[in-house]
Amino acid sequence: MSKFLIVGAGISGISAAEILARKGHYVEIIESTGAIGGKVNGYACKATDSCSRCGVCIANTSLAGAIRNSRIRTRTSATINKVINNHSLDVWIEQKNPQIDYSKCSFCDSCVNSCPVGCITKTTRGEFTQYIFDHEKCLLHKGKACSQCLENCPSGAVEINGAVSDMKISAAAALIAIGHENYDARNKVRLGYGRLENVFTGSDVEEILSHQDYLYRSGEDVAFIQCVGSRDPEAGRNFCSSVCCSYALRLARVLKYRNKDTKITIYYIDIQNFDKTFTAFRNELEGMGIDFVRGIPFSVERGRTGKLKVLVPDGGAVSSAEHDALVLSTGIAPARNSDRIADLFHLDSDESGFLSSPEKNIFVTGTCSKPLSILDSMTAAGEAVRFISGCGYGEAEIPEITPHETAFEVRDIPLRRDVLVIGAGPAGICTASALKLMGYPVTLIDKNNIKPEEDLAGVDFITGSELVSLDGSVGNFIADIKTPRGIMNFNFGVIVAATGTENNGNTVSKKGNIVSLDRLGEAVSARKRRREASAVAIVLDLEIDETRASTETALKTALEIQERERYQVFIFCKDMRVASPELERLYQSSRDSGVTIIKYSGRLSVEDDGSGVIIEFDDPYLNRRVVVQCIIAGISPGGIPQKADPALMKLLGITGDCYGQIQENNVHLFPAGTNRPGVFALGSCRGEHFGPQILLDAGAAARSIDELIAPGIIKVELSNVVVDQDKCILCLTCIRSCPSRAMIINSEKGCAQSIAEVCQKCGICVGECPAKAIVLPGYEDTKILESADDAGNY
Amino acid sequence: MPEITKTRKAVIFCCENSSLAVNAVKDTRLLEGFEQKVLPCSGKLEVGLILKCLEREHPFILVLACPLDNCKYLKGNMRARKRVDLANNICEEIGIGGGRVRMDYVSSLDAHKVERILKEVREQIQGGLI
Amino acid sequence: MITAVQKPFEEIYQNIKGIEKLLVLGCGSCVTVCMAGGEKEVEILSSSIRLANRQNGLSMEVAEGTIERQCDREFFDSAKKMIDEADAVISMACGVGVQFLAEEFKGKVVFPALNTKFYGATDEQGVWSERCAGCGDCKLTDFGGICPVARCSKSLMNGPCGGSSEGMCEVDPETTPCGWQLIFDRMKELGQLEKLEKTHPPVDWSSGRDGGPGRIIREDVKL
Repeated sequence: MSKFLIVGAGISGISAAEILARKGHYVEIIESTGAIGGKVNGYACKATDSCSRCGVCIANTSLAGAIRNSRIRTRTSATINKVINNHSLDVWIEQKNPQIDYSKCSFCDSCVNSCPVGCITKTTRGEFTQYIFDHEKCLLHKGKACSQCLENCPSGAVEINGAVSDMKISAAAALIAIGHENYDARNKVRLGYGRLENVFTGSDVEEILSHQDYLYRSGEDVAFIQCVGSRDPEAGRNFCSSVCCSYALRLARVLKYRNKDTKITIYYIDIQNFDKTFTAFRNELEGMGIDFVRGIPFSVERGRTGKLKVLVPDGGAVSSAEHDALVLSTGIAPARNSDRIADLFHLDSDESGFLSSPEKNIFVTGTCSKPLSILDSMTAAGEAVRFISGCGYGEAEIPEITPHETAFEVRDIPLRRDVLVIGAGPAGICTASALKLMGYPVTLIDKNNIKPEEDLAGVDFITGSELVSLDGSVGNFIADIKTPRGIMNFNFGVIVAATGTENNGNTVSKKGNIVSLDRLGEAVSARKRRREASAVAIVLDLEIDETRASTETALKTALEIQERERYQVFIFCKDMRVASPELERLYQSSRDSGVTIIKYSGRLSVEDDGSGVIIEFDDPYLNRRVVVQCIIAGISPGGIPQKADPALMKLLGITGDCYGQIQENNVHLFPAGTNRPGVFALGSCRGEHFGPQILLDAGAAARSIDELIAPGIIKVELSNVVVDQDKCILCLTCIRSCPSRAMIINSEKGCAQSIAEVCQKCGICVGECPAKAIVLPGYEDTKILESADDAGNY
Repeated sequence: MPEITKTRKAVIFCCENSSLAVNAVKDTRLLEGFEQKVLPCSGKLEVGLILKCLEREHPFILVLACPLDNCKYLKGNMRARKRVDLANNICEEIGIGGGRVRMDYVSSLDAHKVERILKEVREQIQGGLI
Repeated sequence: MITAVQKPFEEIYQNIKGIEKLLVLGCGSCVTVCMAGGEKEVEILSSSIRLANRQNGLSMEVAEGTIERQCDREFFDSAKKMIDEADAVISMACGVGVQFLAEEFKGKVVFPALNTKFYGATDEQGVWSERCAGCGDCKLTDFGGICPVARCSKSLMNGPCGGSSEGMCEVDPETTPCGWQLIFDRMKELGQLEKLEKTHPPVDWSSGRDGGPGRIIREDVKL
C-alpha cells in the first residue's frame, strides 16, 4: 500500500485515483480550481434520442464514485508551492478552506443552508454532486471566525483550519493530470470571437446546450468552423486536436435534433473518424440536412443584414455565406498553470506544450500529455495506473470490500484465474503478455499456424486451433478447443476475443490492375519500368470512412512508392484521418515528397481497362466529374465494411454493432467490454484498427481483467432475478432476451434460472416473461404500483 | 377526450439513470402532480403495469429511458419503446385515446430536457386530459 | 406447439356486452410460449376490458386466472371456483382449450380470445411459422424432413406448381418460401434427388381433417 499524489481533479486524474484506490492505495488529489471534475463539468450530454458516445455521462458517474472513496482525498482551491523529489516525493501545498471530505459527506445540504452569506453552491450532474465555495464571499476569507458550515455538518465532512492552510504531502509517486485549456479563439482575430456577438467556441456551446435547446434563438442558422487552432502551422500548432470533429458533429446533431428548423453548416478541412460506426453517424447527420462545406472561413464580419458574413476559400475563388451564429471548434492547448507545474515537477514540454516526464516517479496522463477525448482520457488514466503499478511501489493489499447494507445474502463465488485469448494479432499478443506479466496463466490460440515475433514465453500458445464450444459463465467458462492434437477441454475465468476481421464485405473486385493496398508496393515493383512517369493511385473511403490505421498504411505506402524513381502517387480520399500527432507528420511528409492528395465527394468508381485503371469521381473544388488514368490502383480494406467472425460471436454469446463488429456501440462497454460478463473484445474485431489505440485498449482490458480475477472470488449479492419453478414453462424467452446471457435452464428443476454472478439485475427478462414467472426482488408489481396517494382504495 | 378523475398523479416510470435527471430538475414545482416510479432499467416495464396505472386512475404515464445505445443493459430502452407503443395501441383500441403514454429518451445529465418534457406533458394534461 | 394470435379487442369486447362477472382465463402451455394467452396476456386483456368498461360507463367485475393447460380436465380444478362465480369466461387458450372449458362447465358462456393458427415452431422471438398440418399420415421420410403438405401452399405431392419463383411461393412471394424448393434443396444436399422421381399417388386425406373429427384410442395405455 502506497500513497500517491495526483495533480488535477479532472476526469483523467479522478479516473486514475479511482483505480489506484480500488487497488488499495491512498490518493491525494490536488486541484487548483474550486471544483472537482475539470472541463467535463461544462460539457453537455450530446444525445438525441440516441447516444453519440461522448462519454460525459460515464465521466460523471466515475467522478461521483471516486470522490466518495475513503482512500481518495481531493483538495480543491489548492496550490502547489514546492516539490522536493529526492528519496521520496514531498510536496508542499496551500489550500483554501473550508474543504469537504466527500467520503464522509451525506450530501444533506446542511452546509449550504447554514452558510450566513450563501457562499456554498451545490451542483449536481447525473450521479455527481459537489459543493463549491465562493471564497470571495466566504466570511472566513474576510478575516471572520465563521465556521457555520463545519458546525452544522452532521457527518463531520467539513474541515476548516484557518482561511488558508499549508501542508506537506509525501507520496511514492505523482501523476500529473492538469488537463488543458481550449485554444484561445481570440488569437484568430478575423474569426470574430470576443469581437462579434454570437460567435461562440465549442465549449461555450457545450455549456449553453447543457441547459437550453438553442444558442440564441430558436430556428437559427449556425455554422461550425473546424480546426480553430489545430492543424495550423502558422500558429505553431501543426497537429490535429482529435476531439473537435467529434464534439462539433455531436453538438450539430443535438442542435438539429432539438429544432429541425435550425440550419447547420460545418466548415472543415477533413472530418475525422471518431466512432466505431462513424460512417453511419456521418450519414445520419447528412440525412438530417446538415451541410458539410470543405474550406475554413478566413474572415467573419457583421454583414449588412445584421448576420455574420463569412468568407470561405472556394477552389481558387472566394465564396461568402451568412449565418446567425458561429461556433469555433477550438483545439486543445496547454493548461494555464502548465509552465508552473512543469517547472515544479521538472517535466518536459514539446513544441505544442504537451508534457512528459523524465523522472522515474512522476507520470503524466490526460490532455496535458496529448489530445484525448473523455473516453480515451479514462482509458489512458487506467494505462497510467498500470504503468505506475508496474514500477514497484509495493503491491497494494486488496481492500476489504465493506459490504453496503443489503437485505440480500452475499456469496463468494470462486473464479478461475486462467485467461483465454483468441487471436494472436497485435491486440491478442499485447493482452496476453500484459496478463502474463501480471502472473495469470494465459492460453493464446489462433486459427492460423503463425509464429509470433514477440517473445511469448510463459504463454501457452496453441496455433492452428479454434474454439468449438463454450459453456459456463464468468469466472468458470468451460471451453472445447480444437487443436492439431485433437479436441482439448479447458477451464477459463475470462475470455478475450481479438480475432480481427474477415474481409468478407469486399464488394470491389481486386484483380488485374486493381490490387489490395497492402500489395500495392510489390505489385508496382513487379511491373516493367517505363521511361515516362507512371501514375499510381491509392483509393480510400470507398464504402465507409477510413480509420487512422488504414490512413497510416496508405500514407506510408504512398511515401514509399513516391520515393521510387518515376512514380507519381495520387491518394484519392474523402477526408484525411490525421487525428494523431504522428499521422499529421506523416501526412505532411508525404505531401512534401510529392504525393498528390485528391479529395473527392460522393461515389468514386475504379475500373480496370486492361492497360491501367480509370478513376472517375466528383471533384468538389472543380465542381465537375473528373477522370484520372493510372497504371495501377491500391484499394484500402479500411474503406470497405469488415465484419467480425459471426460464428465466433454466436459461440461466445456476444452481440455486435450495425457493421457486424463485435461489441455493441454502447459507451458503457468501452473500451473492451461486451454484453457478456467475463468476455472482452479488442482490436479490429471490435472496430479499432489503429496500433497505438489498440495497445492502449489492450492495457485497459488487461487491467479490468486483473481487477476482476485478482481476488479469486466474485462477491455476489443474491438479488438476482428469481424464477417461479411452477410457473416457468421453459419457453426460453428469458434466455433469448437476457442481454448478458445470465439465464440458463436448470434441467434438474425443469425451469429457467439466473446465474447470480452474471445477472445484472435489470429486469428485462421480467418484462419479457409471458408466464410472469420471473421476479426481480424489490421490484414486484405490487410494490411498483404502490402509490403515495393510495387512499386504501387499491 | 372525456374527463377522467383528477385525484391521482401522473406517473413517471424511469430507469435509475433517467431518474437522476428527474431528481436534478431545478424548478421542483414542475414535478408537482407527478409521481416517480424508479425501475432498475426501463426494460423492466411491462404493458400490464402501464395499464394497471391507468386503471388506478393515474391520468398519464411518462416513461423515461436512457438514449438508444446508452442503456447500461444494452437493450432495455428498446424493449421499453416497444411496450410503450403497444400500450398506446391498446389504449387507442379500447377507446380511451392513444396519447396517454409518452416515452422519451433522457440521459442522467438531461435535467433541462426533463423540464421541457414535464412542461409539455402538463400542458397536454391541462389542455384536455384533466 | 399450437400457435395463436389474439383477436381484435373490439371483437372480444362485443361478445361480453351485458356480462356482470367475467373471468379471463389464460392457458400456461402452447399459447404462453407463443405469447398470445399466458398470464401476461391475461393481465393485459383484463386491464383493457376494465378500462374500456370505465370509458363506457359499464360496471363489470373482471377476474383473472391462468391454469397449466386448458386441454386437460384436472387442471380446471384450481380455477373451478373462479369459473363457477363468473357469468362468462373468456378463454385465452387455443380452440381446444376453449371447447374443453365449455364442455367441462356446462351452461357457462365461454368466448375465445384467440385465433388459433397452426402447429408451428419459434423461428426467433416474435416469429413463429407452420411446420405440420396434422394430416395423420406423416410423409416426411420421402421428402428429406420437409413436409409438402404443410410447407407447400397447395399441399402438392409431386413437385412444385408453376407459381414457384426464385425460391418463393406465389401465394406470398415476400415471406413464404416455396416448400418444393426447400424439399429440392434439401434432397440435393442429402444426395437423394432420385427419391423425388417416385410418383406419389393422390393423398388419402381421410387420415386427417377430411376423415372427420380426429380420435385416438390407445387400448394399451387406457385405464
